[in-house]
Amino acid sequence: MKILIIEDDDETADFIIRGLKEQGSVVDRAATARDGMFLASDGQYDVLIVDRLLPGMDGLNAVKLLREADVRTPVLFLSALSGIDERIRGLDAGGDDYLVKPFAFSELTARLRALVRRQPLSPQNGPLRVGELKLDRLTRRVERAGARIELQPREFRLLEYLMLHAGEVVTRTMLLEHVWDYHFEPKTSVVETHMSRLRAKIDRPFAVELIRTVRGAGYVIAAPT
Amino acid sequence: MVILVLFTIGGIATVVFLDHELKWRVDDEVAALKDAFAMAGEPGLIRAIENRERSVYTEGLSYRLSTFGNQLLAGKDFLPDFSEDWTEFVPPGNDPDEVHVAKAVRLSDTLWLAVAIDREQLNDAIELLVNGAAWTLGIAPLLALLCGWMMSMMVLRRIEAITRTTVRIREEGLHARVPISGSGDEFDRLALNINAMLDSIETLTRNIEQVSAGIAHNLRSPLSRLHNTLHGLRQEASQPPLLDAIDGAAEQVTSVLRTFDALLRIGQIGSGTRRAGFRAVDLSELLIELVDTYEPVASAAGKRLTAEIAPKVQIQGDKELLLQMIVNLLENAVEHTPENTTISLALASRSPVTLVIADDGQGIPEAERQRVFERFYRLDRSFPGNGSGLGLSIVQAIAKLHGARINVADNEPGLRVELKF
Repeated sequence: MKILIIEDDDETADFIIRGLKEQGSVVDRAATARDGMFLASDGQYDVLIVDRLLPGMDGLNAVKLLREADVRTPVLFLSALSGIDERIRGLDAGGDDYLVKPFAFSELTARLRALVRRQPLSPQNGPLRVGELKLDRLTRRVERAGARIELQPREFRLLEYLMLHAGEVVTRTMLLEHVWDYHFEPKTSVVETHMSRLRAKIDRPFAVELIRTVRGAGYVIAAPT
Repeated sequence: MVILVLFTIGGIATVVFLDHELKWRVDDEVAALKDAFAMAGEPGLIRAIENRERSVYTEGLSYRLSTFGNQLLAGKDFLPDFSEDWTEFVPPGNDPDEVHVAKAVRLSDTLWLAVAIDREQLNDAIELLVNGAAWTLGIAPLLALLCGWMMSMMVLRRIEAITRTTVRIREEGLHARVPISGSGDEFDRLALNINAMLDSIETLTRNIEQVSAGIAHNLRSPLSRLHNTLHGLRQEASQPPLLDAIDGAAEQVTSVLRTFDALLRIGQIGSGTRRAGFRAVDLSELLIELVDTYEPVASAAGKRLTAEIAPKVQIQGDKELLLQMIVNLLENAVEHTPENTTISLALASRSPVTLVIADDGQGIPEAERQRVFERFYRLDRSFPGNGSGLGLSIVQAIAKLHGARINVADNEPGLRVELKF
């Protein structure tokens, strides 16, 4: 992945750059919105990480201007502002995702992958397949190895989201945001409970587990190799 | 009654005065004609009388100049015979109530003069007076009632405005002010004083909010860096005891950050800015989805969640906040009740829209029921919990933003939280 990070705080930038480089990404950094926009304007990056509050020009305005200039690179906003309206403002400005500081690094990488992979997948409405598991998004029919599996609507959406990101780790927060539209941290184990119900239906009757828990990060669904 | 007596006395005085006035006019005429006779003799007097009879200024007055042999020399002969005292009479051919008053005077051995005045003027005046009094007495009470009513309406309206403002302050926060009429009267002064008091209260509370929001904001950045540093360390560390220590420290930082976020959130909700984004929210649908999500969570914790949701109940509000409010209450019920508890959720469409979240757990002692909404208040201090002690403060802030009343009651047994929108 080729990533541009627009962040004025050296420490945060270093933390992110170090982590991303270890995972084999190419990372450039700009400390101001002006430099960042210049670098991003030719569309050479897979994804932009933009700090919400930048000296001189606000990160929101920078992304707005980039979108007006028809730069469609996915944008992940980073912000110390955890306000309720901030996320909406970020998405309205043309951002694709919004992550509040501080964050676990696994959260950042999971979201970046989801952003980069998202474009070719989302317009399709066709069936999703992971190994012998098949999910038809139109008829809402799920079957594994030819046997039909009955899912509750919520379980269906959970599985659909996992399968849309097959092979990638999706975090608890990502599931809360996209499957439940919850933008706060529940005290009870909402995700875990529903996940275990889903796994009971999808995996338990079969020899091979498709859904795996990634400790400290989230869940991943992948075809056995 | 007093007014009636005053009117009567005033009326009598007026009549007496007018009566005297009439007699004075006659006296003046007599004196003037006597002077004319003294200066110009009998022909001069006759001229003067004729002039007077033609003049408009002598309306109501009549004259008679006669010899003692009752031969008329000037004026009218209907006046009575000579008499030096006041005489009342009705001229022949007149209505009986057209009384005249006359006085005569001897001018010489052969001549006498009489002047009379029509009392009709007086009668007219009395009639006017009586009629006027009747009208006044009739209308005055009505006018007084009308004025009194208008005055009290004015006063009540001003008091009503103050009452409305206090209700708005209670329901929506300290932004409302008492309207000022601009007349500078007592009510305006009261309103100005109330508004000044509200200004200073608002400034004080805003200062407190700004300080707590400022603390939360300014402590976030260093804590975020600390969090990042710990994560960096974790990637480099290899010995398990060190890893555990780092994880423990990171967990503590996260919990402090969560508390700050909750404090900031309460401040934001309390500021009322979210009200601008209020839309129609389908509470029924929201609750059905919530039950769908939390029924498995409750049953995994060994509890039952039942729901009775009236369809298509809509209120004006902020969907995300309403969701969080109900989730907080529901999660409290799931977390703080023993196993086998039944948690029930009920939405009634009657006005006001009422949402009840109840359980048959151990409940809350009556003395503590209101305190649960205080910030950082924990009912069970031995219960470690992963909450910040702010969950119910957020609930209260959201309810207040929506103008909803929260009532915490005994469910006999258990806890019953009622929200009335």
